[in-house]
Amino acid sequence: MIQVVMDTSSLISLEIVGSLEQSLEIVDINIPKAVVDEINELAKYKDRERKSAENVLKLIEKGGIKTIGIKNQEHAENLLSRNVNRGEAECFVSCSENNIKKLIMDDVDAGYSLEGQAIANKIEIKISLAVLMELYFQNRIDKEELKKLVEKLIKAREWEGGVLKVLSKVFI
Amino acid sequence: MKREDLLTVRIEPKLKERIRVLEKEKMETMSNIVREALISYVQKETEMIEIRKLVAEKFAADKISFDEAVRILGYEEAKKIAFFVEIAKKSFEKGLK
Repeated sequence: MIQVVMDTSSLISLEIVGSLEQSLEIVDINIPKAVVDEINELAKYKDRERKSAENVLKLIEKGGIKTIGIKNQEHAENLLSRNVNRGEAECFVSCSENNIKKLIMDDVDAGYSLEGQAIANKIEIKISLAVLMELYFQNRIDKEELKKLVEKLIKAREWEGGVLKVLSKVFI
Repeated sequence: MKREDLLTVRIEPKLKERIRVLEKEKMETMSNIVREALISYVQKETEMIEIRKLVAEKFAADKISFDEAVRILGYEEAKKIAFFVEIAKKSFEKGLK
Protein backbone atom coordinates (compact mmCIF):
# COMPACT_ATOMS: atom_id res chain seq x y z
CA MET A 1 0.00 0.00 0.00
CA ILE A 2 1.20 3.48 -0.83
CA GLN A 3 1.24 5.84 2.15
CA VAL A 4 -0.06 9.34 1.41
CA VAL A 5 -1.19 12.42 3.29
CA MET A 6 -4.08 14.22 1.63
CA ASP A 7 -5.35 17.76 2.06
CA THR A 8 -9.03 18.76 2.12
CA SER A 9 -9.14 19.84 -1.53
CA SER A 10 -7.79 16.54 -2.84
CA LEU A 11 -10.13 14.46 -0.64
CA ILE A 12 -13.11 16.47 -1.86
CA SER A 13 -11.94 16.23 -5.50
CA LEU A 14 -11.70 12.43 -5.32
CA GLU A 15 -15.07 12.22 -3.57
CA ILE A 16 -16.70 14.48 -6.19
CA VAL A 17 -15.54 12.19 -9.02
CA GLY A 18 -16.66 9.17 -6.96
CA SER A 19 -13.26 7.51 -6.53
CA LEU A 20 -12.29 8.19 -2.93
CA GLU A 21 -13.54 4.89 -1.50
CA GLN A 22 -12.00 2.86 -4.32
CA SER A 23 -8.68 4.64 -3.91
CA LEU A 24 -8.45 3.06 -0.44
CA GLU A 25 -7.72 -0.23 -2.25
CA ILE A 26 -4.33 1.11 -3.29
CA VAL A 27 -3.43 3.88 -0.83
CA ASP A 28 -3.36 4.39 2.92
CA ILE A 29 -4.82 7.86 3.32
CA ASN A 30 -3.60 9.78 6.36
CA ILE A 31 -4.94 13.17 7.39
CA PRO A 32 -4.15 15.54 10.25
CA LYS A 33 -6.79 16.82 12.67
CA ALA A 34 -6.96 20.23 11.00
CA VAL A 35 -8.18 18.57 7.78
CA VAL A 36 -10.94 16.77 9.74
CA ASP A 37 -11.93 20.18 11.16
CA GLU A 38 -12.04 21.69 7.64
CA ILE A 39 -14.20 18.85 6.33
CA ASN A 40 -16.56 19.20 9.30
CA GLU A 41 -16.81 22.89 8.45
CA LEU A 42 -17.57 22.16 4.75
CA ALA A 43 -20.29 19.72 5.80
CA LYS A 44 -22.18 22.62 7.42
CA TYR A 45 -22.61 24.61 4.21
CA LYS A 46 -25.32 24.11 1.63
CA ASP A 47 -23.21 23.91 -1.49
CA ARG A 48 -22.03 21.18 -3.83
CA GLU A 49 -19.19 20.28 -1.49
CA ARG A 50 -21.47 19.51 1.46
CA LYS A 51 -22.50 16.04 0.30
CA SER A 52 -18.90 15.20 -0.58
CA ALA A 53 -17.72 16.40 2.81
CA GLU A 54 -20.34 14.23 4.55
CA ASN A 55 -19.15 11.20 2.58
CA VAL A 56 -15.52 11.91 3.49
CA LEU A 57 -16.53 12.11 7.16
CA LYS A 58 -18.22 8.70 6.91
CA LEU A 59 -14.98 7.19 5.58
CA ILE A 60 -13.06 8.80 8.45
CA GLU A 61 -15.58 7.42 10.99
CA LYS A 62 -15.28 3.93 9.46
CA GLY A 63 -11.51 4.16 9.84
CA GLY A 64 -10.82 3.95 6.11
CA ILE A 65 -9.07 7.29 6.30
CA LYS A 66 -6.69 7.55 9.22
CA THR A 67 -6.38 10.66 11.37
CA ILE A 68 -2.87 11.32 12.62
CA GLY A 69 -1.80 13.84 15.21
CA ILE A 70 1.16 16.16 14.82
CA LYS A 71 3.78 16.63 17.52
CA ASN A 72 5.42 19.84 16.39
CA GLN A 73 2.66 22.45 16.35
CA GLU A 74 5.26 25.21 16.08
CA HIS A 75 6.44 23.80 12.74
CA ALA A 76 2.84 23.98 11.46
CA GLU A 77 2.49 27.55 12.78
CA ASN A 78 5.63 28.58 10.91
CA LEU A 79 4.26 27.28 7.62
CA LEU A 80 1.06 29.32 7.83
CA SER A 81 0.83 32.12 5.27
CA ARG A 82 -1.59 33.88 2.95
CA ASN A 83 -1.52 30.78 0.73
CA VAL A 84 -1.10 28.01 3.29
CA ASN A 85 -3.88 27.38 5.79
CA ARG A 86 -3.75 25.24 8.94
CA GLY A 87 -4.94 22.08 7.20
CA GLU A 88 -2.27 22.29 4.52
CA ALA A 89 0.43 23.19 7.03
CA GLU A 90 -0.49 20.20 9.23
CA CYS A 91 -0.50 17.94 6.15
CA PHE A 92 3.07 18.94 5.45
CA VAL A 93 4.14 18.38 9.06
CA SER A 94 2.33 14.99 9.08
CA CYS A 95 4.41 13.90 6.09
CA SER A 96 7.58 15.11 7.71
CA GLU A 97 6.94 13.54 11.15
CA ASN A 98 5.71 10.18 9.82
CA ASN A 99 8.22 9.80 6.99
CA ILE A 100 5.43 9.84 4.39
CA LYS A 101 6.88 10.94 1.07
CA LYS A 102 3.69 11.63 -0.92
CA LEU A 103 1.61 14.70 -0.21
CA ILE A 104 -1.57 14.90 -2.30
CA MET A 105 -2.66 18.50 -2.51
CA ASP A 106 -5.06 20.06 -5.00
CA ASP A 107 -4.69 23.60 -3.70
CA VAL A 108 -2.20 25.11 -6.16
CA ASP A 109 -1.38 28.17 -4.07
CA ALA A 110 -0.52 26.02 -1.06
CA GLY A 111 1.43 23.47 -3.09
CA TYR A 112 3.40 26.22 -4.78
CA SER A 113 4.19 27.89 -1.45
CA LEU A 114 5.32 24.61 0.13
CA GLU A 115 7.36 23.42 -2.88
CA GLY A 116 10.74 24.54 -1.55
CA GLN A 117 10.21 22.92 1.86
CA ALA A 118 8.94 19.78 0.15
CA ILE A 119 12.06 19.47 -2.00
CA ALA A 120 14.26 20.03 1.05
CA ASN A 121 12.40 17.27 2.95
CA LYS A 122 12.21 14.89 -0.06
CA ILE A 123 8.42 15.05 0.02
CA GLU A 124 6.75 14.80 -3.37
CA ILE A 125 3.68 16.96 -3.93
CA LYS A 126 1.13 15.38 -6.27
CA ILE A 127 -2.45 16.17 -7.21
CA SER A 128 -5.50 13.92 -6.80
CA LEU A 129 -5.24 13.02 -10.48
CA ALA A 130 -2.19 10.90 -9.55
CA VAL A 131 -4.48 8.64 -7.51
CA LEU A 132 -6.78 8.13 -10.52
CA MET A 133 -3.77 7.34 -12.70
CA GLU A 134 -2.50 4.88 -10.07
CA LEU A 135 -5.90 3.13 -10.06
CA TYR A 136 -5.48 2.77 -13.81
CA PHE A 137 -1.84 1.62 -13.63
CA GLN A 138 -2.84 -1.03 -11.07
CA ASN A 139 -5.69 -2.23 -13.34
CA ARG A 140 -8.41 -1.22 -10.88
CA ILE A 141 -10.12 0.82 -13.60
CA ASP A 142 -9.93 0.62 -17.39
CA LYS A 143 -9.02 3.42 -19.82
CA GLU A 144 -12.64 4.39 -20.49
CA GLU A 145 -13.38 4.72 -16.76
CA LEU A 146 -10.19 6.73 -16.32
CA LYS A 147 -11.20 9.12 -19.11
CA LYS A 148 -14.64 9.66 -17.51
CA LEU A 149 -13.11 10.30 -14.07
CA VAL A 150 -10.54 12.75 -15.44
CA GLU A 151 -13.32 14.53 -17.33
CA LYS A 152 -15.24 14.96 -14.05
CA LEU A 153 -12.08 16.21 -12.34
CA ILE A 154 -11.51 18.75 -15.15
CA LYS A 155 -15.05 20.10 -14.68
CA ALA A 156 -14.54 20.44 -10.94
CA ARG A 157 -11.47 22.66 -11.34
CA GLU A 158 -11.02 26.25 -12.51
CA TRP A 159 -8.01 27.22 -14.71
CA GLU A 160 -6.30 24.01 -13.59
CA GLY A 161 -9.04 22.11 -15.42
CA GLY A 162 -7.84 23.64 -18.70
CA VAL A 163 -4.32 22.37 -18.01
CA LEU A 164 -5.59 18.88 -17.18
CA LYS A 165 -7.67 18.87 -20.36
CA VAL A 166 -4.64 19.71 -22.51
CA LEU A 167 -2.44 17.14 -20.77
CA SER A 168 -5.07 14.40 -20.77
CA LYS A 169 -5.01 14.47 -24.59
CA VAL A 170 -1.27 13.84 -24.47
CA PHE A 171 -1.15 11.23 -21.71
CA ILE A 172 -4.40 9.23 -21.96
CA MET B 1 -29.14 50.41 -13.01
CA LYS B 2 -31.06 50.32 -9.73
CA ARG B 3 -28.87 50.24 -6.65
CA GLU B 4 -30.86 48.26 -4.15
CA ASP B 5 -28.43 45.96 -2.40
CA LEU B 6 -26.50 47.19 0.57
CA LEU B 7 -23.10 45.71 1.34
CA THR B 8 -21.51 46.19 4.73
CA VAL B 9 -17.74 45.79 4.91
CA ARG B 10 -15.38 46.28 7.83
CA ILE B 11 -12.27 48.25 6.91
CA GLU B 12 -9.23 49.55 8.77
CA PRO B 13 -9.55 53.14 10.10
CA LYS B 14 -6.47 54.16 8.05
CA LEU B 15 -8.13 53.02 4.82
CA LYS B 16 -11.27 54.91 5.72
CA GLU B 17 -9.17 58.00 6.28
CA ARG B 18 -7.58 57.61 2.83
CA ILE B 19 -11.03 57.33 1.26
CA ARG B 20 -12.05 60.50 3.10
CA VAL B 21 -9.08 62.31 1.50
CA LEU B 22 -10.19 61.06 -1.94
CA GLU B 23 -13.74 62.16 -1.18
CA LYS B 24 -12.53 65.76 -0.87
CA GLU B 25 -10.08 65.59 -3.79
CA LYS B 26 -12.57 64.07 -6.22
CA MET B 27 -15.66 65.74 -4.75
CA GLU B 28 -17.38 62.35 -4.74
CA THR B 29 -19.24 60.55 -1.99
CA MET B 30 -17.49 57.76 -0.11
CA SER B 31 -20.14 55.37 -1.37
CA ASN B 32 -19.36 56.27 -5.02
CA ILE B 33 -15.61 55.89 -4.53
CA VAL B 34 -15.97 52.47 -2.92
CA ARG B 35 -18.48 51.33 -5.58
CA GLU B 36 -16.19 52.46 -8.43
CA ALA B 37 -13.25 50.69 -6.79
CA LEU B 38 -15.31 47.50 -6.44
CA ILE B 39 -16.49 47.60 -10.07
CA SER B 40 -12.93 48.10 -11.25
CA TYR B 41 -11.61 45.26 -9.05
CA VAL B 42 -14.32 42.79 -10.07
CA GLN B 43 -13.80 43.64 -13.76
CA LYS B 44 -10.05 43.23 -13.53
CA GLU B 45 -10.24 39.97 -11.60
CA THR B 46 -12.83 38.51 -13.98
CA GLU B 47 -10.58 39.34 -16.93
CA MET B 48 -7.58 37.87 -15.11
CA ILE B 49 -9.39 34.57 -14.53
CA GLU B 50 -9.95 34.24 -18.27
CA ILE B 51 -6.41 35.31 -19.15
CA ARG B 52 -4.88 32.95 -16.55
CA LYS B 53 -6.93 30.04 -17.94
CA LEU B 54 -5.85 30.80 -21.50
CA VAL B 55 -2.17 31.23 -20.62
CA ALA B 56 -2.19 28.05 -18.50
CA GLU B 57 -3.67 26.02 -21.35
CA LYS B 58 -1.22 27.40 -23.90
CA PHE B 59 1.73 26.87 -21.55
CA ALA B 60 0.64 23.26 -20.89
CA ALA B 61 0.40 22.72 -24.66
CA ASP B 62 3.90 24.22 -25.17
CA LYS B 63 2.40 26.99 -27.31
CA ILE B 64 3.88 29.78 -25.20
CA SER B 65 7.15 29.93 -23.28
CA PHE B 66 7.63 30.62 -19.58
CA ASP B 67 9.02 34.07 -20.43
CA GLU B 68 5.90 34.91 -22.41
CA ALA B 69 3.73 33.71 -19.52
CA VAL B 70 5.73 35.99 -17.20
CA ARG B 71 5.18 38.96 -19.52
CA ILE B 72 1.41 38.36 -19.53
CA LEU B 73 0.76 37.39 -15.90
CA GLY B 74 3.80 38.47 -13.93
CA TYR B 75 6.50 36.23 -12.44
CA GLU B 76 4.60 34.81 -9.46
CA GLU B 77 1.50 33.77 -11.39
CA ALA B 78 3.58 32.30 -14.21
CA LYS B 79 5.67 30.32 -11.71
CA LYS B 80 2.49 29.00 -10.11
CA ILE B 81 1.19 27.81 -13.47
CA ALA B 82 4.55 26.23 -14.33
CA PHE B 83 4.50 24.46 -10.94
CA PHE B 84 1.01 23.08 -11.55
CA VAL B 85 1.81 21.96 -15.12
CA GLU B 86 4.90 20.15 -13.84
CA ILE B 87 3.12 18.25 -11.04
CA ALA B 88 0.17 17.51 -13.32
CA LYS B 89 2.52 16.03 -15.95
CA LYS B 90 4.24 13.90 -13.30
CA SER B 91 0.88 12.77 -11.95
CA PHE B 92 -0.25 11.72 -15.44
CA GLU B 93 3.02 9.97 -16.26
CA LYS B 94 3.83 8.24 -13.00
CA GLY B 95 0.67 8.15 -10.89
CA LEU B 96 1.85 7.76 -7.31
CA LYS B 97 5.26 6.25 -8.20
